[in-house]
Amino acid sequence: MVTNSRKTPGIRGSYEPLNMPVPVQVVPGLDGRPAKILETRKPSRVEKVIDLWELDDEWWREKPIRRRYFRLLMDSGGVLTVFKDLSSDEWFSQRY
Amino acid sequence: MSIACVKIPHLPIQCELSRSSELRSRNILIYHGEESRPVILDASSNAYIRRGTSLVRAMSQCPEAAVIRADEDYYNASWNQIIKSLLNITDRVEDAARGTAFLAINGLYAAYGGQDQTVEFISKATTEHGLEALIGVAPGRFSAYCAAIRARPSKPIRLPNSRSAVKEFLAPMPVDLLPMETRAIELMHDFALDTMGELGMQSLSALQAQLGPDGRRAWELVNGFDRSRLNIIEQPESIVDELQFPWPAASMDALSFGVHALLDRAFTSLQRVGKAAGRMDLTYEMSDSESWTYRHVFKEPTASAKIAHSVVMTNLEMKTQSENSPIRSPVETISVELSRLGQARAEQSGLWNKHEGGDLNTALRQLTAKTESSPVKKIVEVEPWSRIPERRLAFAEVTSR
Repeated sequence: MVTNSRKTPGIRGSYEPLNMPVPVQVVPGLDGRPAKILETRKPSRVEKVIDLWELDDEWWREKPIRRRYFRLLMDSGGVLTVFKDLSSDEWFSQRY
Repeated sequence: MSIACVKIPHLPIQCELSRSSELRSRNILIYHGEESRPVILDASSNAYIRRGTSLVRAMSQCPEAAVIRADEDYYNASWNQIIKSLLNITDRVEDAARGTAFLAINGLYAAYGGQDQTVEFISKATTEHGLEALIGVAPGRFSAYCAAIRARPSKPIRLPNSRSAVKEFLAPMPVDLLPMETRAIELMHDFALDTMGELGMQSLSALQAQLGPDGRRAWELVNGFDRSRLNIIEQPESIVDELQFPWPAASMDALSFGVHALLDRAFTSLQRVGKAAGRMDLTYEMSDSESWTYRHVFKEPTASAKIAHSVVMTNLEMKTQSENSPIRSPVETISVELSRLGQARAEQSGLWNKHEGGDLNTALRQLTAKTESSPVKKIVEVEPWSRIPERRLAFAEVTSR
């Protein structure tokens, strides 16, 4: 009898995480905080940094999680959350 | 029903000949049993010595024979090789005794190109191991056996699928071949019923009166009524599945969620083949390259992911609370093997059971069969308290029950 195996090595399990970080282009100000977000439609200016916090987790892994989050009030009136990956210096937006 | 009987006559002798060709020109006596009273296990046909004869007596009757102590392991291994080859032809094989096997071959003709070709394949399965087999094909198990013992090597006997033809074939054969107690056979000889034809001419009620249930069975067999089923070899089967966490699971919630998703999928595969699992091996692979396997043997084979999940979680909670918890670092992968597959015990459904989601289940089952995995997803909370936003919610497959 043939072994009935659905094992598919390398394929992620039966669930996918939601709300994954999306890469964005950020122009930082002199203080390192985001000053402008370059999006495909039109760049938007940061009016104010509402909040700022850091996330440091999974230090035991090859790629630990080290992020600096910024909650931003944009000139359009909207609120956007972005973070800088402190390991790679890349910027991402993510709903928090 | 078409059954093929494969009989290897003098299997121990054939095994010895296949490994020492210099024995071919001699008679052989193979003995086994206690050193103080060894008896014959098998002897060359030309020696005319029956199994069970004491070795001393056999040697006096056939002084020139080569005398060999039985190598049971070797004979068993040779037979197992043949069974393995037969299982490559069909999975419906009965290993009746060392040297005798039955195969249900109806349904194979289309695959092998006809009955002749199927029998040819069966014959090759034995000759490739250097042993000659006798093959009989008949509508029943007993008639196939009788056909096999009348066959010659590479000349199988095939009986047509007709009761009268079987009856006619069996008629001249001795009643000693019937699968009955020695006492019943002796009684038949006492009544001068020496052949199956003579037995078949008696009335059923007379035989039943003299021999009881054995009489009825004997009458049925010699008249071509054979309802005996093959005792098919249960082969080891298993369902194996694996789940890699998108990130190392360091909480009981995440582990529980992963175990649930994995078991749900594995048990859906199990239900698809109409089986239930008798054993479950769940392996946790951790980020420090350590792994831990938890084995659970179910009291009754189960096809329920819910039962399996509750068993796993109870064990997991107990283990992780103990000082010597086997899970000391976050889990990256979990895999499950469901084995000892068998039939699930039938469960009576209640009269007032709700059948909610029946249509959805049917649709899901059909979609899953088409696409291999469920295309329908639901949003579930994984670690809703996590500081890392992408860890909180996930898309999970919705599988049919």
